[in-house]
Amino acid sequence: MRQKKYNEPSRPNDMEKLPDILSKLKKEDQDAYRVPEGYFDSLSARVLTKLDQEDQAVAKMPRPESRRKWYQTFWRKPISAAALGLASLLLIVMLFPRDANEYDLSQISDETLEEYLADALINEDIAMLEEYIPLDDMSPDEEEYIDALIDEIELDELESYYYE
Amino acid sequence: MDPKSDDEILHLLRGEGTMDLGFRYLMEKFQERLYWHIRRMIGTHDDTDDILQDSLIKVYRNIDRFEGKSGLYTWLYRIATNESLSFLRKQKRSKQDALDDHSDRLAAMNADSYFDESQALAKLHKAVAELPDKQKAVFNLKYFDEMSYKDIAEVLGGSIGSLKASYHHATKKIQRALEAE
Repeated sequence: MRQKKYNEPSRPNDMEKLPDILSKLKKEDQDAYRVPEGYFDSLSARVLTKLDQEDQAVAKMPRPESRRKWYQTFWRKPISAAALGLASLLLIVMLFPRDANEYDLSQISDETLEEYLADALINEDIAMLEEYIPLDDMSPDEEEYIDALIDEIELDELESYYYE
Repeated sequence: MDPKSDDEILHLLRGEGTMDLGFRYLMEKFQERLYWHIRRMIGTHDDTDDILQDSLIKVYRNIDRFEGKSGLYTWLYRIATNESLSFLRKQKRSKQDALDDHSDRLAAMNADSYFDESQALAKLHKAVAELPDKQKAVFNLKYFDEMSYKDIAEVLGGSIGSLKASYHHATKKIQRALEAE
């Protein structure tokens, strides 16, 4: 009996051998996937146009310094605005006499108040992002709009803001 | 345009004032291969078109990061594969469960006017669409692009042994799916 050499793989082609059905399909000439007529001829022009549009959008963006400043205020601004709004509301309630039509804060549940503030913060953030990042090719009604908006943020820059 | 070697394309891409010309040569040379690779990962033409354009733009913006340690084409495939995998991940996140995701993908393929169901390969593409994403990438690169495991490892990462095992599992699953038809 032939002795197996050290390191000799057992049945080396076993994993590579294609099942007959796949070998047969490999010889098929016609693919089921098609492309529109002239697609590859116009592709490079479309890519270059898209590149150009992106460059123009970047040129319209704030310079890096003001960008950094924007990031620094990005997280603080909504929180400051919400805190200021809440403080003003409390002041009004304390200073002015209550009448039957007046809102009584104690009647509003904590959950409702939290939900209102969270919505306000999210709306504020998105409004600021929209102002900062133009997404001309998408409508805010599209499902992936917010994902696309968030994708445009440079994570490196956000990280550097946190770790500085 | 005259075909150029990878080195000539890279030289143009890195030269002063010749970057756009180099990029045109690069697109001319690789766009079809990359298109078909992405199409086999994604299934529908419109999504493939978006992902291919984004991948090519990423190549243009990051050409300075190409160190030449791997081949140009494996680097391009890596970018295209990552873009495709990230698209599939996003799609999956928006679905309730994996079953929804698979049936939606098959439905999208059937509805695509650039997919011909009457062709023999239609069944194969549908069977590939059912594979887990990583296995799908390994299978496509090996079966359709006929890449070596060494090159596939450069594109996807991982050891050659694990890639071989992935390919083996993928072919078995596809064989079962095709024979069950």
